[in-house]
Parts: sequence; structure tokens; C-alpha cells
Amino acid sequence: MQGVMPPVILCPACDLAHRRTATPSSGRTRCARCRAPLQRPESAAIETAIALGLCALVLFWLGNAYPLVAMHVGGSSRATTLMGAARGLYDQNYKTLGALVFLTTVIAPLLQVTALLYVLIPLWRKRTAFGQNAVIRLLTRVRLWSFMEVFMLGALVALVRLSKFAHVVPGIALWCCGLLMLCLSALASVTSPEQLWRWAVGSQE
Amino acid sequence: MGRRESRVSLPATGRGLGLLVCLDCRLTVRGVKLPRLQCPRCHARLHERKPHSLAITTVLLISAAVLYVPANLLPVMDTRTFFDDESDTIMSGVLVLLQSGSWPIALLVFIASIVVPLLKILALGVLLYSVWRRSPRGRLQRSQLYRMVEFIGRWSMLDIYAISLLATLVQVQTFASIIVGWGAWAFGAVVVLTLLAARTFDERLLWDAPRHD
Amino acid sequence: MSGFCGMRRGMTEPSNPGLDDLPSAVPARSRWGRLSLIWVLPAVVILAGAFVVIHEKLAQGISIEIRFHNAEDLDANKTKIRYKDVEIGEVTDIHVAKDRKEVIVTAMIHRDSTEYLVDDTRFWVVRPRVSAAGVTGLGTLVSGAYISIDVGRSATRSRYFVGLEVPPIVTADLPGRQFVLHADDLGSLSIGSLVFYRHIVAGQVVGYDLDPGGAGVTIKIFANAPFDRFITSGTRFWQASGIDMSLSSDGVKLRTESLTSILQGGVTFRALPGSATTAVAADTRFTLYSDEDRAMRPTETEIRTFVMYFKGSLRGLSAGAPVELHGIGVGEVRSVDVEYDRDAASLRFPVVVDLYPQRIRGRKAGGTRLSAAQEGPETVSRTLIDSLVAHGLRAELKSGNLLTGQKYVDLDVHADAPAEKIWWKEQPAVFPTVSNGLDEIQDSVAGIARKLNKVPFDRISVRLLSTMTGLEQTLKSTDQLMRHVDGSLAPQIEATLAEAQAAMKNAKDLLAQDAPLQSDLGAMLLQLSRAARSVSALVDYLERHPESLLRGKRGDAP
Repeated sequence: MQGVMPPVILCPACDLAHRRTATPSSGRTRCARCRAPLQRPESAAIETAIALGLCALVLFWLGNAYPLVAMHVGGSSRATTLMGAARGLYDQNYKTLGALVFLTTVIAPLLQVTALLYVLIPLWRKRTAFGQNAVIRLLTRVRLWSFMEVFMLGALVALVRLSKFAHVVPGIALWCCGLLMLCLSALASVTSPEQLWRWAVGSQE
Repeated sequence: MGRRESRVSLPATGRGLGLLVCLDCRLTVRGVKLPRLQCPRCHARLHERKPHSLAITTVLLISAAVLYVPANLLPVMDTRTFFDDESDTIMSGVLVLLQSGSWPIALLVFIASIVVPLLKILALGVLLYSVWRRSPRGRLQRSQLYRMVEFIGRWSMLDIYAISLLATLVQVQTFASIIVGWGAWAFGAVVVLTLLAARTFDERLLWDAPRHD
Repeated sequence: MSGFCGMRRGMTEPSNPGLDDLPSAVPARSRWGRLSLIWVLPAVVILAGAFVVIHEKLAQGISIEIRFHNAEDLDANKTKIRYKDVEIGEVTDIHVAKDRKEVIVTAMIHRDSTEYLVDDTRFWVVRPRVSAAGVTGLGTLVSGAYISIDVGRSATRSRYFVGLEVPPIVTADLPGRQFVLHADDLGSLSIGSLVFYRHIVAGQVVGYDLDPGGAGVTIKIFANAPFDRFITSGTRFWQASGIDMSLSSDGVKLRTESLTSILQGGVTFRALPGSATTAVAADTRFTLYSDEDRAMRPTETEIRTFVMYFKGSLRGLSAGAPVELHGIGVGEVRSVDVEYDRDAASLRFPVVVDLYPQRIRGRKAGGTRLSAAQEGPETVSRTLIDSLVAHGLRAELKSGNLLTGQKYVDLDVHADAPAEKIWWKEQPAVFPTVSNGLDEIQDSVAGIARKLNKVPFDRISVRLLSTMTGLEQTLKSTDQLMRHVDGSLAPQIEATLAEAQAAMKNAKDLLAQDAPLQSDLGAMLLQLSRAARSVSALVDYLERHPESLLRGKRGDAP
């Protein structure tokens, strides 16, 4: 059934059937009953997605390799990386909490970006990556657990609390994580599931 | 360009038309009377409705509600300095922020860590109840409520991230050290459970009830 | 390939016939060729990232290894390295060395501090410590232990160090100089003991070693600036430890330096008055004396050794006892010996004495040394001593301190001493002595006591009593006699007297001319007057020297 778009679209939110219309060039279509978004506009070229993905990858690496923030108090100083923060929880015997932080701030973004690039780069070259479908499925699911923007806000709260009694110096990684957050959200808007499948299916023509 | 609406005289649902939609790739396919179905495009498992949605969501929700109490009563953070030992729950942490003058941050933490989880639990409770009661009223509002729950779910995690940074950094031997408390674990559990509960809840159940004309 | 990109055909208006003839626009080729503009974004990001990485790598410091005995108080990624309390690095890794005897601490030193890493730089862990210098490192109870560094002065770089287990007493940048002292024993000193100058802390003992051969101890001290300036060629060092109590002929003396030195020992130094004060280089050797007296003795450039023989007991005379001239120290007793004189078949007790003629000369000649320079010190001192001895300078043993019974040798001029001469040919020459009067008094008193013992006082007293009674009776009868005389005898006596008078007159006439009786009488009178004179001289002498009754006249030199 590939290549032929069915004439009916079911709303995944309320199960209402809609007649398929042409994909809008901008804006999006919504369900008649529950106003859930149905169709999204055709997004930019695959190159955009790949470019953003590369940026995200570089930013991810920078954001993890260097310390997020350094704290100076009472003559001594401490600094930590992103993974170090998760490790801190882990070391205090909160292993599940540490794993949760690690998953949502390190693993999920990384998987998200690498899976995307894994699929898109071959597609760009008109090829199909091995296990492409599974990877796309993985990608869309993992994306749901990537909480980079929440982390940024949480880091802000932590910095404010720290600055009350210590001298706090944001590290380079903090800025990189902020940019990564923007990058990831841009990426998510460019690579909606339908778009991904469009590219995926399109290349198989 | 605006919305394109399809008008049909009777709401034709996928269920009624024998159609299924793949939740992963959003492909609409024709249903087949077979026990296990797979999406032709992405090979994900297809279900008319999420399996056991109500039951699983209810279980998760009740667990989250139960853990919400210790999450707020138990201290999330233990600040040990040379002079004294301070235990902070989420609420007392908010008050500390308020007292130290940063009220926007205090407000943020208050909303994210106390209001939002409570809201989620209550909202999901309402939704589950409405489905159970097959109440047909205010379906749009309920739908919107659900979408809000799904959207804000993740923001409750922010206190967890703040705690992880604080606990990792403030380890200056006898000068000051921060020990994470059990309240944080309970809180993390509440966040995860509500996230999972929102995910396992099938939104379409809200629209399955008959509509009063 | 239809309907997925670009324009949708379904959306166009029904075509106008006239427009079909119009040419269609052709898609424009991108000026950048196949490259879309979007690639700028990742390119920029990658460049920025590369920049950051390179910058970090360049700013990275140097990794060093320090070996310690154990990793107590050290934590990887936590413990810092500080120089003058400024953080210059951090410990990155700690693991046990392969030989299991040490712990290797790997640390990252900041780039701008890598110039401190020379091969004599020292590292040690700062933690609370109690030592001779006091309690140090208390701040680390709050801030956590850290590793401190003392930058060395070498020019050779190094990355491998052996850490000190104990903080160094002096760091390389402390101004001052090190000196070396030599003593017989360490006394109560230890590493960290203080060095005092005029009761001010001027330095510390930094180390000590037993001499090879075990004959003494070499002590290294560090004198802080500006006190090290006061250490010159004429400086003397002595142990100021504890309480210095000495019991000598001068009496009891109690000296202490300070409370700290009582507890942990100390060294004091002072310049010898009147000595040369040329500056000395670091590491100059000095002698460490055991007390101030010994230290402050001026160096005697000339020592004359004599031997003295004294009568009487030498008890209380010890080696080191002073030889004084009118209370001024001019020498020292070196030893007290026993000698068997074979010729005389008797025991003699030579006392070997060191005299410092310079002191005498100095005082007599008002400190000038001209004569010595001109004539030669040897001759000058001989001449000096000879002339003094000729004037009656003698040595005498005197009791310096009745409390302790200590004796000393006193030199004094005895005008009526029998003439003596020093025979310089004998080595050592014998110095003339006089006996101690007190000794003789003691002997005489002992003799008198013995004599008195012999006198039978009990019998005498009995006889005296009876004589007294007899005398009393005699007096009574005499008294009666006298009355009788007055009464009856008196006129008879008068008559007798008149006769005597007449006889006298006759005698006078007889004696008027040069009668041989007269000259006889004259001679007799002359004799009488001579006798009277010598009696008066004797009485005079006895008045001056009453003791001569007991022991005869002076001049009985042995």
C-alpha cells in the first residue's frame, strides 16, 4: 500500500474519519471535531534536517564534554558536567533517579539525533538505511523522553539557589546545552513523523 | 491557509468504518479481522484502541497519587553545613527561595513541582472518571484538558534536575554538603508515573461515549 | 514521484486559453551550486566547537605525578593543589603504585602555573597537624585537605615528584639563611625548636644529624631575615633550653630563655662583645655551647699553664674553678692531681692552672697591645708575670661559697711574702702560693682546744676555791694588822722612815761624784731602759699581730 495515500484520514485523537485533502503549504489541518492537528505542511528539504542534526550532534558533544557550571565557595571550587550531575544522584544511592536524569538528558537526545541522522543521510543519498522503519519508530518514541528544555530550566533554578551562597560560573557546556535545546526543537518541527515517513516512503519510489 | 473541514452528517469514526490509524506513523489503514495487526508502512502493532488503556492508566494514576503524599512530606534535600543541618521538602524549598528574594524562581518551582503534578493527577482522575461514567458532556474541553496534561507533564521534572545539580556540586566536605532525600525519589516516581499514565490513556476513549443531540 | 513536493497541480485555476502560449518560468539555479545555504549552520557550529576544543586543550595544564605514603584525606577530582592559598591545580586520579609501597597521585596543574614545576619543588598534604611548632592546618577542617606546594629554585623542569609526609619547616621563599652548628649532643632540641636573638624568635632548627663517627651532632638552623644579619664571625651560639641552674663559687644562678624553650628546647645567639663582626656566608659552621657562660668566654689567644702547690685540703676545688685577680677572672683551674714525690717520699697535690695573661695585660695597660706587637707576646707576658711575682703576687686558695664549699684560686699581692721566682724552664712552671690564714687559724684553734683540753680545770677550780678562802682570811688579818700598824706601829714606822731618809741622803752624797757605784748604776739604768724599749716594741708588735702569740712571727715560708 505504499505510495498511494488513502483518501480517508482518521483523527488519532478522536477517531473521526476525514476526507483527505491536499497537504497544505502552510499552517496545518485540524480535526473537525476535536481540533487535534491532522496534517502538517510540507517541511523543508531533507538537507535542513540533516544540517540541524549535525549541529545538534556537535552541540551535544560539547555540552557533555565540558563542565556545565563551576561553583566557588570558601576557597574551594567544584564543577560538574551533565553526566556528572546524573552521576551525583547515582553516587548518593539514588540509582533510579540518576538513571532517569541520565536517560532524559543524555541518552534520549543522543539517540534522537543519531537515529535521525542514521535514517536521513542515506535517504538524502536516495538509499535506505538498514532497519529504517524500526529506527524511525524508535526515533519518534525516544523523542518523547528527551527533556532538554526542562533541564535548562532546572539548571536555572539550581544556579539561582547556588548563587545565594557561592560564586557561580556557568561553563561552556551550559550554553551548548541551551543551543542544543533550540536545535532539538527546531529539528522536531522539521522532522514530524509524517514528514519522516514521506521522505522514507518517497525514497523507495 | 486555514482549516479544511470535512462535514459528514453522522460522525463517521474509524471504528464505525472499519478503519485503523497507526499511532506511530499516523497512517490510516483498512482494518482486517485478525487478532494481531501490523502497520504496513512502519510495522508497528496496530490497535483499535490502546490495549487495557483504562486499567493501566488507573493503576498508574493511583500509584502516582499515593506517592504524591510522601513526595511532598518527605524531605527532598538535606543541606548539611558546618553549623547545622537543614532538611527541605519541596514546599520549604519554595519558601526558602521566596525568603531569599527570588520570587519568580520560587513561583516557577511552586508551579512546576507542586501545582503541575497535582493538576495532572486530578485531571487524569477526572478524565478516567468521565470515561468510566461514559459522560458525553464537555468532550472538547476534556480533550483539551488531556492535551494540556500531556504537554505540561514533562515540566515537573525540573526540580529533579535542579536537585541533581545541587547535590553534585555542593560537596565541600565539612563546609557544606547536600544529601538527596527520599522525597526526591518519590517525586521522581510521581512524575514518571503520571507521564506514563498520560501516555497509556487512549484519548479516543473520551469521544467514544454517545453524543447527545 | 507525484504530489510530494513543490506545487500541487490540483490547486490551479482552470486554464485561460491565452496563457498557454506564455512560456513557463524555469526554476532558478542556486548561485551556490548544489550546496544549500542551510549547511552554513552546521559549519558554523562545527567551527565554533573546534575553536572551543582547541582553546580548552591549549589552556589545559600539565599532568604531574606525586608519590605519597598513603592517600589519606585525598580525593580524586576534589582535592586541590594550592600555592599561597591560590588554587593552581586539582587531583585527578589516585592509585596504588605497582610496588604497593606508595600511592601515586596524579594531578592537573593549570597552564599558567606550570613554571612552578621544577625538580626541587616540594609537595605536602595540608591537614590539621600538631607539631613542635604548634597546631597547623586547622582551616582544612572546614575547607577540606589540600596539597600545598613550595616552589624550588632549580631550573630543571620535572613532572614526577615525591611528596613530603611532613610540611617543611622553611619554604624556599622564606628570606633568611641556613647555618650549621656543631655540639656534643642534641640536648633538648628537636626539629622546630626555636632560635632566639635577644629573646626574640629569630629562626628554627630545621634538621640534625649524628656526625659520622658518632662524636657529636651537627644541627642545621634557619635564621629568618633580618635576624640572619646579626650572625657574624663573632657570634656565639648556646643552648637556651629549659632552665639553666648552676652552682658555682659565684653562687646559685638560675636562667631561662622563654617558656617555649623550656618546653621544647631552643638555641640563643649573641655577638661576643668586642669581637670582630665580619659577615659570614650561609652554611657557616659554628659551635653550639651548652650554656651562656661557656659561650661567652672570650677566646684566649694566649694561655699560660702553671702548676701550684697548696697546703691544706683541696676539697671544694674542681676543674673549671676560676682563678681571680682581685675578683676579676684571669684564668681557670684545669685539673687537680695527685703526685708522688719520690725524693721527698711524700704526696704532693699539683693544681694545674691556665692563666690568660692577656687579661691582666689588658687591664693593666689600659687595653693597648702595642707592647705585645713590638716585643712579642711571649716575652711580654713573662716579663709581666715576673714583675708581678716580684712584687708579691701569690696564689691562695679561698673559699668562694660557704654554702657549697666551692673553692677558687685567688691571686693577690702580698707585700711581705718571701721573695720567689718563677723558673720558666720547668714545664709547666710553678707559681708561688701562700697558705691560707684560715687554715692555720683552724690548726691553731685546734691546738688551743687540745691544750685547753689538757688543763685540769676541775682540780684548778677546787684549789682556787681553797686559795680564795685562805686569801680572804689573810686579808682579814692584814686588815687587823693595818689597824694595828696605824695605831701602834705608825710612830715607829715614821721614825724608821726618817732614818731611811737620812740614809738616802748619805747615799746620794755618796753617789754624787763619779763613783764606780754611780757608773755601775748608770749602766744598769741603760740596760733597764733598753729592756723597757724592747718590751714596748714587743707590746706594739703584739698589738698589731695578736695572733703571733699563737703562731709566731710572719715570714715562715715553707
